[in-house]
Amino acid sequence: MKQYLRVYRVYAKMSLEALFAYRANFINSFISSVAWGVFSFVSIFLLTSKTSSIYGWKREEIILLTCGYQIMIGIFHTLFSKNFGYMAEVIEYAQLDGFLLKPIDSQFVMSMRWVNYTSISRIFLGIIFLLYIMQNFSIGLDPFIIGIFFLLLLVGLLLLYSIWFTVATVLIWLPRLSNIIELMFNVSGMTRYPGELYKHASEYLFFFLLPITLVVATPVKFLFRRTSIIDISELFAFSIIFFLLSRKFWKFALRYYTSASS
Amino acid sequence: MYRLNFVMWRVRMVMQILVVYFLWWAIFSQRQEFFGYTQSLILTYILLSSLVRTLVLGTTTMDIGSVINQGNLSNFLLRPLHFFHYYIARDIGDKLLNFAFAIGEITLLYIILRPQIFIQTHVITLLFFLVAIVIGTILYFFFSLIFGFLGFWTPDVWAPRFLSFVIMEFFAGGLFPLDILPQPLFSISQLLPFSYFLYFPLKVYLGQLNITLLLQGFTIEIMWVVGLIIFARFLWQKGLKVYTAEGR
Repeated sequence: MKQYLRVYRVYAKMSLEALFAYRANFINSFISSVAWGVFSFVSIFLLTSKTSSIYGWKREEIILLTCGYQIMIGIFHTLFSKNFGYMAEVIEYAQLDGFLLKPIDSQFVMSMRWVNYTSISRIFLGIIFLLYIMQNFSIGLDPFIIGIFFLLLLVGLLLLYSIWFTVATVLIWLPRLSNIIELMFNVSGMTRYPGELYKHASEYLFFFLLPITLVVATPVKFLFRRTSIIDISELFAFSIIFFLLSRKFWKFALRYYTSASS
Repeated sequence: MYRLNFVMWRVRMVMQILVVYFLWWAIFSQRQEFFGYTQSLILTYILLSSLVRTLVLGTTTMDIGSVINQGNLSNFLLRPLHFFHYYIARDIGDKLLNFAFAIGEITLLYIILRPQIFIQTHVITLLFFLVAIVIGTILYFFFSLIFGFLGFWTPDVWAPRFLSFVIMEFFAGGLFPLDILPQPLFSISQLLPFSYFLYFPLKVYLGQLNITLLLQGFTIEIMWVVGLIIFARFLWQKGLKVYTAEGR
């Protein structure tokens, strides 16, 4: 465990150095990130104005869902997105072989090699908006509640990551299917709306998207003390199951990869 | 392989429309009207925006930056076919292809979802609608060209272009009609070129613009087109000097 932390520190440092080498790029991406977050916030504020509730979610709860989404996606983009973007290349150009030869877990390398610091702005933006909304709508700012909220958010993050990685593993068989990663960005975007939205649209769709709808909604619901033990257990269960699934599937895919003469 | 990639791409496009559609559907589940719009008008706006999007925003000019960076521009300069004409021709093809698929997808969605859409029957209005689309298309073409021409000076063309996408997502009116914005923001949006990509043509279609607003919109739009054409030509000439000076 300690070794992995040490390796990760090296990754983080290398990403930081790459960042300084392309400073203009970083500033530009940073501005884009901030702009995106602000626009998301303004949009949801606008669209929920004059509305008291949508499918059982009060206005401030929906706005908080967007804030929670910003934080979640900010962490996700910082830690994982770039790596998923590179995954198709790594597999196609057999760089994966290099990773497999090293005495380090290949899933770890594939997922966490690069850190995208520009997305940290979205985490902060999300937190600021979150605190602002909670203040404005007089929702209790209890540090214990907020702590648990972040814990649940991390569990949701694990679930989101596991789903992504499971889907991305398909690239081992179809390395040119890069659009599948783009598709996952769309699917992630669906976490910012309450699950009830999809349920009302189509029961079938809702069942398919069920784990996705829990990722941000459950932690946010906790902020409103509207979660039950069932909701929380559901989130934990899905996270652990999908994470184990992602590992099993990856190992299975690697067997195929190493057996086919690349 | 490409076929599956293509299907994924279309699935993504449809998903994007669906999410926005359902969001608005949810908003109207609680009320009859929203900032002056009925559910029918908004859903028409959203579905039509995906069609207009393919015509106005579909482009192959995104690779101009790397064409310049990698020195492939030299091939174009040597050929008898002019650079601009090449991209215009490619774009028209690309737009029509996208449009064809979008028509299919929207028709499918209409059959499945059965929204109450608003059909514009006034011929003059429809004519103005088409004119707005054409001008919007020209506007976006030169807008995109300008970002490509940055390739003459910097290897990083993607970042400024991405920033323009982020701004466009909000100010082009794809997620919601811009007139639901509070007044100061709305006025700003009318002065920026982005609203003429989607919001303005759609508003024309809905027949909600009187003569004054129509003329105002077209005037600002044409001013932007002229301005961008002049700027694009300027960048092109300046850029070519830099490009050829580096002996390529």
